Amino acid sequence: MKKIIFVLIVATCLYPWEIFIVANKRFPKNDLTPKAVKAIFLDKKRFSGGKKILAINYAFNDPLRECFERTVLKKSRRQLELYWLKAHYKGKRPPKVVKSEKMLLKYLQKVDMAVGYTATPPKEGDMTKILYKSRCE
Amino acid sequence: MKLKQILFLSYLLSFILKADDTLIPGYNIPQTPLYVGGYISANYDGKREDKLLFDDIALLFYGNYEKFDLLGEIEISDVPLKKKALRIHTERFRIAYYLYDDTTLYLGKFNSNTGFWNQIPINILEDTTTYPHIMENIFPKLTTGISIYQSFEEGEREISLTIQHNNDLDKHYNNIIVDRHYSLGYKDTMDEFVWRLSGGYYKSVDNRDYFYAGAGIRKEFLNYTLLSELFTKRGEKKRDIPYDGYLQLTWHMFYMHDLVFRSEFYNDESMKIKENISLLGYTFRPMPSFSIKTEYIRHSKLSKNRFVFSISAMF
Repeated sequence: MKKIIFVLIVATCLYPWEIFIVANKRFPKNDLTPKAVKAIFLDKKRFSGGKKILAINYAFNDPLRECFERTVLKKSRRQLELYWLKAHYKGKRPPKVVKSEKMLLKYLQKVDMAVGYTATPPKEGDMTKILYKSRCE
Repeated sequence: MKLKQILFLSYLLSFILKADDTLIPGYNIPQTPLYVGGYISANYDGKREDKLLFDDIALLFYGNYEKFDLLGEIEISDVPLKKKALRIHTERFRIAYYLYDDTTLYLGKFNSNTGFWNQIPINILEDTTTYPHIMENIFPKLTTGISIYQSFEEGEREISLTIQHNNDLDKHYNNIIVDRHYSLGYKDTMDEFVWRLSGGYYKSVDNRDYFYAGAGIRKEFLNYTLLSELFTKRGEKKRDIPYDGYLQLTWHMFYMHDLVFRSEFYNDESMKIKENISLLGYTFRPMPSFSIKTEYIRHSKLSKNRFVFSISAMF
């Protein structure tokens, strides 16, 4: 068991994940800056091209979410918990949560303004596009 | 209600009324976009007549639909634990409308767009139970009117204009009762460093005119948070409060444990008081939505030196 964990840690260090910020093909922008991604997932930016954005996240303990928070949002868990506590007082909510990339893809295909992130690039014919790409630190 | 019961109830509420996903409080009313939540705070202040009281019991409700956003807050404040007197106030009630992607219009009663502390002025969200002198003496904490916010560079910079040209929505719930308040605010964010400029004019209901202006900074380091604000206020003929400021350093000693030091300095010429206030506090936050705080406050002139202790929770 210890060997497997060691191999996994080494593999993760050697081949760090990539994070793809993805959206429906009809999303009004073709790329996003890191600041824009951060603003969308922290509920600081709600509209784009006059349409309401639907940010989608993964469950609290999902490793990809941990990586996203650390790399893209650049905030620790504690900072985010306090951030959303303050947001609650201001009438803001964290993004909607899905259980898997498969579910995220369904949302992205059906909702024009849905934005999420995946560890694998979307396939041709998925009706999605990549808005930003980052490497997990 | 005894202190132990309050402690237990606060802790229980903060656990029960949480969102499904994370540790974020708030409860979604099924089949609606509405959320309800609130916060409570009970504190002990050695210098107060009612030493132990609920200084805040508030119910929050909010939701958004298309380009509209609703937020309300009803508060029962300063309830002595031994009495049954209740004072219910509308602390905030506002509707927001997103005019453009980066432009938002607010209508109703809301926190004035002034300073850092005033943006989240409740016990559970702050590092100390007591608040700085500026919070009661420089500007009206709440405004009933219209406000427009314009953000730039994905919210990194923000400018706001607020206009009140009417009476307060709840005349009894504000630190300064006014019927005119015009203010401008500017906020700039550079990673973990944020600075703000604010200024405005208000007319109190006893027909006195005041102007105020101030600046503030907040910087988050890995283990420290630095917060500082400096304001000045001028009456019709003279400077009522030439300066009023504070510097606060919060040391995140260990996970859940913070140590806070605050140094305040002000000169209130209308009251003929010029003094320094020092605060040393400790906060235990076993979970983000529940905190236990204790602090010692020392005044250089007024005989208000005291210990303050509080329990607060958000749900």
